[in-house]
Amino acid sequence: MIEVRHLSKSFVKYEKEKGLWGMIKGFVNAKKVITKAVDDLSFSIAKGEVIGYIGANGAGKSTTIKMLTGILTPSSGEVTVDGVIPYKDRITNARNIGVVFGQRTQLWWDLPLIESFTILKDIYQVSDADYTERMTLFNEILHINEFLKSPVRTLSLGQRMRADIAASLLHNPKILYLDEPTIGLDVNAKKNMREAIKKMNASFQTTVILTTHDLDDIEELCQRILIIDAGKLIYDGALSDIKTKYGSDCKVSFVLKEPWKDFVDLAKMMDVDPLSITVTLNDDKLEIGFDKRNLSVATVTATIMKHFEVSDLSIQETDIEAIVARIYREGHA
Amino acid sequence: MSTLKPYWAYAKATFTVGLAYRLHILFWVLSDIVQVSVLLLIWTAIFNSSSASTIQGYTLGQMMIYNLVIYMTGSFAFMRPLWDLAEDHYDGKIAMSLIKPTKYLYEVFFRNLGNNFIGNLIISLPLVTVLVGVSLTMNTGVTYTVANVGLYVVSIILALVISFFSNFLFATMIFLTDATFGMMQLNEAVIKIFSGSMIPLTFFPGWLRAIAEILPYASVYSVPTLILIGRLNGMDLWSALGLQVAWAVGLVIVTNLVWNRIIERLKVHGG
Repeated sequence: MIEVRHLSKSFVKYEKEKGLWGMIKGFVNAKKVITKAVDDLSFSIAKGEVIGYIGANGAGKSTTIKMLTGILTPSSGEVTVDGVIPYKDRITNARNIGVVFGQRTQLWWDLPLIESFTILKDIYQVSDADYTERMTLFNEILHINEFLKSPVRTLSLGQRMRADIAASLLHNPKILYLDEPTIGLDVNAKKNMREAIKKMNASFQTTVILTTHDLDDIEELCQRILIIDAGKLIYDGALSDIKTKYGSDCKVSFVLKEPWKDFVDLAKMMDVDPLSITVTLNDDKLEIGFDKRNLSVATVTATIMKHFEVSDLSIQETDIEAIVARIYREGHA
Repeated sequence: MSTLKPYWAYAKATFTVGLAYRLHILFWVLSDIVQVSVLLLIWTAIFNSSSASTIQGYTLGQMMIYNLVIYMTGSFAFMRPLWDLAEDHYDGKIAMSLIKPTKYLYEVFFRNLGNNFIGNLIISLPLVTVLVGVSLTMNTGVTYTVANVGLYVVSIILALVISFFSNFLFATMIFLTDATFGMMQLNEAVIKIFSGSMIPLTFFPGWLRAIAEILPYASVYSVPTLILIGRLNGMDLWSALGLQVAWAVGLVIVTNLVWNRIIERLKVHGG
């Protein structure tokens, strides 16, 4: 469905020096700086997949989406979306795609919501029968009828996002790009939004590409993730793989009844290599970090509790958030 | 005309948005009434302080008619794509247009057309009333023939196209410079001087008048106005219409070429 080969995009920026004199100097002769927002990106996405596209702020996510949607022209490399080169044949591509930018809206701000749908119906030339059918379905999934007559500017963020998703699907696109669709939503609204995306994917076989900072979105929706950092693709694979690869780190924290004074060789007691565990002690707080492949949580807790009086303990397994933070930090997967 | 159907939706949208703001419309009408009144008062003062009853071939009544008609012509034909481009470019809203199966250039054209319909509805009525009033009460000697009215309509349609594409071409400079406000001021100033909307072009010295008449701004304001009030006749009429056609065709071609180049190097603001 989507093929990306060696895609790059650089931007030219003019850098100005600080202060008034710098502004004046910059006015006459600004320093030209070329930044690579996307650097030699390659991947392919099949029909019906739900892909999580993640990366830190400024990693190049939005730039990639803008090239896939035909808004930006790549500096080099190739993109085809359903056989169409987006920036060369923007209009054909536009009929195949739906786009929701979480920070923008494609609805007419000053008009009742229903007007936006009738205008989009004309723009995409959706037949009356299709229009009625889809609007019924949107209401079932996204519950938009309750505010269909309100001006868009009066909608809550959650309502507006639901309406925006419906608007982006009115012409039944093959691919749906969701750029931070849950940004700023409350917990419930997020949940509803995820449900809706799942149902849409199931009923229309829509390929979904989702960029987000909310890792719950990823866990709920995506089978596969792409991680981008400084414009380069650093991970492309199943979410479960990355979890097995990094998710074996574990940490058990104890609160001891009495501060620990004497030296005890924990590694020897648990019969492991001392370098494979980390021990931090802070007054009565003891933390032991280890890899679950070498050592079980049961062994660790049993050993500690045999030697100390413990008043409280908690176990922290690595969540996807920690994994992604680690990958961003290390810059590779 | 099915290929135009998506574009009419944009015209319908801006038209509907315009109607949604009743107070805005009220102030719009008021500001027009003030502007036209000031123009008429200034000309009355000029004629009263002059010993001659005609200035550059205009009597006071004719000058009033000229001002009313050119004001009306402006409200029919003048388009402000500069405004759309500035706004769409400034906050990156243009991204939402570029994901639609329509061409941005023509989307903006139809958006403006929807706006102009509103303008026509609101402004034409009071203006035409005053125009009829002045024509009836003052013996101006201006007659409106069927032929002139017909040619006026044709000329207005050409003026719409010229106005839109020349202003769009100018507005594209914004994309290259990011200097929105200055560009807008410059554009408005150039239009005011060279269109004949401030004073008739016959008031200019010969060489300046020759330049102004060739520039597209005269084709937007002055030409339709002079056609309707019967001051363009014979060869002058046909050459003015011919120049309008040439500008319209030329600007459509050039603007399309320039815009297609710009789209390729577009920077979209915001995330």
